[in-house]
Amino acid sequence: MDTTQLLKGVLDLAVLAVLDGRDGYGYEVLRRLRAAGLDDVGDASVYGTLRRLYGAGHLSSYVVPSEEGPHRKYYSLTPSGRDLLERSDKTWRGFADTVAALLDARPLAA
Amino acid sequence: MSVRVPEPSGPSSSGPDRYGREVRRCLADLPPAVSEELLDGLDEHLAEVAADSGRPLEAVLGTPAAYAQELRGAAELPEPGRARHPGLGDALREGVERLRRHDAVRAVLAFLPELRPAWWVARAWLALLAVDFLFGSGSFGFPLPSALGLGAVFGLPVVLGAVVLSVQLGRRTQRRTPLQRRERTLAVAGNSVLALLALVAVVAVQQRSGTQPVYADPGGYATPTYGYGSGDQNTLVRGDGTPITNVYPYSSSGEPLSGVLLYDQDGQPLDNLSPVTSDGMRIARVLPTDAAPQPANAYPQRQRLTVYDEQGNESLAPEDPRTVPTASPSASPSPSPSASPSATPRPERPRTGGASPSRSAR
Repeated sequence: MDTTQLLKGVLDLAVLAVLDGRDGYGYEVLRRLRAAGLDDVGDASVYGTLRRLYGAGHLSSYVVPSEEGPHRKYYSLTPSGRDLLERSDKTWRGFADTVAALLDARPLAA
Repeated sequence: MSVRVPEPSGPSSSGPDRYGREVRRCLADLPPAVSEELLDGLDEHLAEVAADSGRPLEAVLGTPAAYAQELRGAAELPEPGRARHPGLGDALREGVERLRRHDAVRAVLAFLPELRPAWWVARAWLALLAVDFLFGSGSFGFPLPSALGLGAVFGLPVVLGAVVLSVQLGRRTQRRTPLQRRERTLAVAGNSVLALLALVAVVAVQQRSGTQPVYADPGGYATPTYGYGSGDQNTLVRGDGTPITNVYPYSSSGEPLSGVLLYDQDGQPLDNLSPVTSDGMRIARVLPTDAAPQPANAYPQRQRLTVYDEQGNESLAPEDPRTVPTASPSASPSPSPSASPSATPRPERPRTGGASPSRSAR
């Protein structure tokens, strides 16, 4: 199964989840997602998603100057972002449960 | 505070700078505001990725074109093919922006907000007028919208109410400065619709012409069913804009003539008298029912003014004696019984209250 197609649907949720309670900059978000097991996630996808969520008001941002490297633009959840995360969380779990139940119901399932 | 961009390690043909430039080139079709917002910080990000991986960026991220494409998809921006219109819009916006910077334009623009209250009042009135015309009897009450035939007494409160509503709306919109995007869209749409209605009203006011005749029966006067057709003729006006509501032909010896037919240079009958006086009073044409109907271009025309009583009921004022056939040329102001055998217009009763002849005839 092509996970990149699946990722497209849940990338917003995943990005919001890794930013919940822990602000992060673009590259950091990418690393967190990969560390969580989403190996296929694309750099530009995360970058674009962050920009889109920011444009929609779900994220706020601030720049932190860094001594050893470039400036970093940190993102954090806004109340609307937190709300979206909660709703997406429910939707995703419901959806995943439904699909799991569907798979479990197969007659030849172990 | 300087931004130190680490040099890419290894013999890379495409460092972060170059890679970023390529990505930007692939997104050049986006409006500047969008691409600026999207690409702000990209170089720093690419530099970090390059520093972290130690490999050429193209090996890590794919081609700049593919990266740009993925960015576009994730940010849900239009594809390059569909983004040609924003390019045209940009040129237009730039032109408008240049115009805005002009001193004269700036002065006018700075003055525009002062006109806002006037627009609030005007839009209410114009919207009512347009609604009246479109959904009412297809006629105008001027200067008051007839408010769907309710007359002046009800029409006035309706107009006032609309004005109050419009002003309230305007003030509220102004007070809560940061409008939600949806609210602003709604407000802009509403104002646009009103402006459009206003345009319809103005055009329709200019186009209205031709009164519908009122037939007078010998025993009194017909019900005042009149209105203005939505004719597309312009009505007659003098050079100074004063409407011409009637024509009084006289012979060279000073005798008033009646039933004179007038035609223009093309043989077209001159029948487009203004149905409204310069005071805004509406005029109804009077046709005697017991005589051969007069052509619309026969002058002088017999007319009666529309008047309102205390209840706001419309009725017709006495006929102008000068328009009654064979009236004396001295045009005595008192309505004189006519010697005309055909028309027999009766002397007018003084107008009091709702006891108008036209009402009683209904």
